[in-house]
Amino acid sequence: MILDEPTGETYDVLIIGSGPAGLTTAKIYAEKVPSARVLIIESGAPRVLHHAAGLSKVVASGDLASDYYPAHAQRTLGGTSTVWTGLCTEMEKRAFLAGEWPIQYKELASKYQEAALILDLPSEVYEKPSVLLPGSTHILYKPFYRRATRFAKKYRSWLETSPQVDLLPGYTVVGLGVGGRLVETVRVEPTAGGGANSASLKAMRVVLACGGIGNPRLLLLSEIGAKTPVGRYFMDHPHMYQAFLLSVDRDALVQVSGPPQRGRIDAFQLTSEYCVEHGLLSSSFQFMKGLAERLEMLRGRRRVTRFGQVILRSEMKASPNNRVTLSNDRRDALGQPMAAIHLDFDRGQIRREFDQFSRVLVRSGLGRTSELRGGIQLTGGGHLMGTTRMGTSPTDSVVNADCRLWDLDNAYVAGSSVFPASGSANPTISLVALAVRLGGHLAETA
Amino acid sequence: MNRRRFLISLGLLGIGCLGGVSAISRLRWEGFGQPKELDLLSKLSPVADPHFSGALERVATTELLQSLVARGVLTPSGVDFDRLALACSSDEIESFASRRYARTELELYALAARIVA
Ligand SMILES: Cc1cc2nc3c(=O)[nH]c(=O)nc-3n(C[C@H](O)[C@H](O)[C@H](O)COP(=O)(O)OP(=O)(O)OC[C@H]3O[C@@H](n4cnc5c(N)ncnc54)[C@H](O)[C@@H]3O)c2cc1C
Repeated sequence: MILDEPTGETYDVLIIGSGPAGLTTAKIYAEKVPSARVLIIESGAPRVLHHAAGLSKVVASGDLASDYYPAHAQRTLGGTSTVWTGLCTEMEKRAFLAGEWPIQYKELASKYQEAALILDLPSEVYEKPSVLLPGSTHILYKPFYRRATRFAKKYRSWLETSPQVDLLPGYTVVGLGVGGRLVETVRVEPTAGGGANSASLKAMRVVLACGGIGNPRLLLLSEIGAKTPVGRYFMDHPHMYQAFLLSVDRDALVQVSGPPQRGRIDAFQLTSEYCVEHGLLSSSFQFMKGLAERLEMLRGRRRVTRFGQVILRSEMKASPNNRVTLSNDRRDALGQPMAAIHLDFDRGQIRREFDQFSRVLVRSGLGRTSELRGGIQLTGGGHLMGTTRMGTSPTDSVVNADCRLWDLDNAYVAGSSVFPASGSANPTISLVALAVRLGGHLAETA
Repeated sequence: MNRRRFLISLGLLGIGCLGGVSAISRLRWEGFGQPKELDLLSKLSPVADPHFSGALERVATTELLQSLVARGVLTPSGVDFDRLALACSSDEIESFASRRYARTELELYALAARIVA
């Protein structure tokens, strides 16, 4: 049911944010516990409202400007899935092999099938996420699948009709009231202003699903997790567009990819094992539109290659210096401190990843790259990650392996802010997989 | 060993003809059994592409030839692709015309372009 205003009900689970993370957690939990009552609070409305968008404003320093972030944190029903591109591929194993996650890779991998169903993706995305290029031991063909599922559209009628789930749109959570180890109240204000209608809501358990900036900001505003690195280790995916050409042996490519498939985009990367062995992070080399074919010499043989421009999308090393804090002097329309964000890319790391991939490709005889044109020009991917990272202790993480806040017994985080390392894959399928896992965990522990 | 003799004679020949491309396009291969002619022109034609005529400009033609023969990439029966693959798999990367190559393959293309052109 869609509510006009808050009610006095104490819900079993209260979810803050209706993006892919929040809606997936709600859906999975509600399906598994048919008697449960769930409330989803959404700052935006079913349509984008100007005053809601203003609440995502930030003060930024470093490589990405202040106006970059609000565009990547949509305040509306369905969250940023209202504008996302929909590129999906599984996260690489690299960071798991390197011990950067506190859970085994299979815990994530086992949820990709359900995540793919939610995102309307073809089964290849989890059945055959990657395959070695024939003749190479280090280079994977790891394509992206593109389906820009809009969560608002997909779940609107479920939200309207479900007897279990209430949606409260147009209300912004401005703080969590804590007593002992429990969140006892969730303070909301109408997004459009008018503090008279503010309310304190109650629930047995609370899930923050406000996005990679919204989650740490709400924790900081609520003074939760002060002894944990809330807001630190912020990561995005540095992207380098059209900086070089890539050519790949057509026969080898077709052998693994089969005929062209609508919505599938060819991409390549070094295996996780190779990256771990050589101290590299993950990076993906994705063909852009407009590929051509030509005859080219590859290791002494004249081969037909596919070649074209590339997007290099890379993992960032998690650094405590890249972080979200609260601005000292800038406030939003609800009078709350804006998020202050600092993020620096490591150009040397991107250069090393490019060089190493290029070297391995050339040595394999399966293709080659051109030199880089110009310097390393980077942009972000709108993938906001790492700010409430998962780990094994409160000194180096904000949530435990169940995505529960270390300091609290009834508060959880959903979304890519829990990634302790991001891989180079776009994050949404993985955050949806983790939300499936969290929904299941909430049900098991109901 | 005979192969060594061959390499030495190759070097001398190279110096003798001052690196002249036409003079070394037919070489005597005395390395194995019966003396054979290393007909570079026909052996290198399949890998020749004028695009590479300016590649590795600072390396003398005889040096390229010696390097490829020494590593068994160029043999009396032509290019040994397995040896080439092996050499490339641990090669340094060279840049030519803004594209990246394994050193050995670039040597081969450079030599072929000079000999066949
Ligand atoms: C242009 C663009 C292209 C993208 N392309 C891709 C892609 O190809 N592949 C991919 O994997 N990812 C892509 N992304 C990223 C993707 O959109 C996000 O990973 C995903 O939407 C994150 O889901 P989420 O639920 O964690 O957060 P969001 O989708 O941001 O949802 C958070 C929700 O919380 C609400 N909220 C925030 N604070 C509060 C509060 N205090 N009170 C109440 N509600 C609150 C917001 O209004 C919002 O609805 C793209 C993003 C952009 C902007």
